[in-house]
Amino acid sequence: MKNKIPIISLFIALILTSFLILFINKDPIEAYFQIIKGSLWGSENIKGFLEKTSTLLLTGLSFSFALKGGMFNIASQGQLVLGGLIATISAIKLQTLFLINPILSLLIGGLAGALIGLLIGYLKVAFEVNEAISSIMFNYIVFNIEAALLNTILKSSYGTGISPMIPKQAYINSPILWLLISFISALLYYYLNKRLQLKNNIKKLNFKAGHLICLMSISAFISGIAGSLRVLSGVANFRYSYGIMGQFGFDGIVIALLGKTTFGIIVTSFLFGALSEGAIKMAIFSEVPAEVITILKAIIILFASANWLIREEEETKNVYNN
Amino acid sequence: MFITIKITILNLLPLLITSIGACFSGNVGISNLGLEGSIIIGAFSSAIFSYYFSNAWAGLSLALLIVLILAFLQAFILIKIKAETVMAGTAYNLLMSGFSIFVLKSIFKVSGNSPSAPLLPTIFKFPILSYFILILVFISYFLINKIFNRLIYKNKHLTFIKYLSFILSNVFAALAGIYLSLGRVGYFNPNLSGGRGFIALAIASLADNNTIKVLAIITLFGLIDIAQYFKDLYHLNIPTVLLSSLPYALTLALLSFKKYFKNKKISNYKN
Repeated sequence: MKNKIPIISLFIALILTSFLILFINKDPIEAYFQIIKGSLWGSENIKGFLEKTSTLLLTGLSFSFALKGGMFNIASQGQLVLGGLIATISAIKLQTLFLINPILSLLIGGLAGALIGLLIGYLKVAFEVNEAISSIMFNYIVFNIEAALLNTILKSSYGTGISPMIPKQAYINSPILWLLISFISALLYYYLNKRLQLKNNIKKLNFKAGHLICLMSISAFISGIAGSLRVLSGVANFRYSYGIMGQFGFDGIVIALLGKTTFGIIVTSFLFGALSEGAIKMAIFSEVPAEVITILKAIIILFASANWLIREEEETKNVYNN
Repeated sequence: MFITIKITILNLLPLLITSIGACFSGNVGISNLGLEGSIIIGAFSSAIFSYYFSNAWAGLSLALLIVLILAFLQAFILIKIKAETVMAGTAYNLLMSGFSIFVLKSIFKVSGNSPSAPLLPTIFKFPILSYFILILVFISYFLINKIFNRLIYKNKHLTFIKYLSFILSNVFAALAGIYLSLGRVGYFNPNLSGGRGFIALAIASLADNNTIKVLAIITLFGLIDIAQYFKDLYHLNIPTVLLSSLPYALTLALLSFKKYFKNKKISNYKN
């Protein structure tokens, strides 16, 4: 039963949003058809779908890593932005280095994100600052840094809020590579879960301070990688542009909480990736606002939030029974 | 100079009232992540109804009614069904912002500002809601410290206080939204709130859900804002990013030092 709850809530959400679409005199079946067609039909659409999926998978995993230590890394959005910015700068500075440039830029962007995670973790351990609240503060600080960088170092003649182009050598424009990077992170998370489960059978999880900082840094590192990847994969014509990170950091929270297991997170990010890509096409071809998908997501999360604790209790019971 | 101070006060009032709202919910042990959503729906519904009836007071009262209903439903989900707070709050925020943009796009055929609506009247060049907000700050102090906390201490009407505090926190956030749309700009924009709900949560946590401390922190924020004015006046060469990040960095620093202040108190007590 408990595995069916997300599917049931998806159906209820679909029915509720159908009424909303009917209310504005549009055909819901047509709208849903456009979502499927807009995300899974044609190479351009599939590319967009995979690009969104890999970002969502990374941010979802990022949140899950911190959650393993009982922490909420709400700063994922800020880490995406900072990672993307620093990766852009490094890709431009490293101009000619072929093959090393993308790898190095990706890692530097990841480390920039990890720096925020390190600070959040340290503040939590040493000063008992609630990580959710310091995350929110760091988000706003990074958004200010973003505005400052786009006005100074990353200023271009192309327009306001848009950086210069990164050199061709730094491109990572194959969807297979995007998926590879996100699946490696998924494997890492799976491995960590396995290790923790082994310990879990012996005694109750007891994290030391260093472990918490480490988990938070890994979580932030993955968000930073996701941000760098979005720039290097050419989502915005191989530039950093204002708003390139969308709401992916916040969507990651939802994916982690809905998916829960490694497999669940992968499935949920594919679903949400298809929904986000399809929503754009739906808005164009059937003139239904893309926000229908936001509402759909919200309803799914609402149902999951009510069932979350119940499922958690069931699982802990199972552990004790075993 | 006086204009700068006036603008600073006008800009900080919505943050103040939302933070007071966050104190209410924090006081009963719920971190209300849905404050942002309440600001959005307050601003949205008041602007829409004010436009529809060409009457700002109708907008105000209908918006409050809608938020009251939504807050009650949310309180029911959180307190009775015991939903996970972060998820339920996120869902509520998404629902409110998604719904408001959906209506703007499908009914009004705009993606930015809603059609402009009549504003609430002003007294001495300040919006009428700004006086109302200041009065509410002082009422809240007595409500939390003299009534709610005493009843909690005596273990009376606990569920009722929990519901009432949570609903009040959302109504206060909605007032911030109504203030923004009908007190200041006269329209609704999806970015009108600008994350005030989240910052308010941080401020309330920093202030230990104490309304007087909230007032002090907001005053500090205001002083930083006014410092920006002096920077422009004397052409000081301070990067804008430093000053604009200062409130957040300061909150972080204060949160970090809080632990030491607490430890000191405990050690004094022991001696």
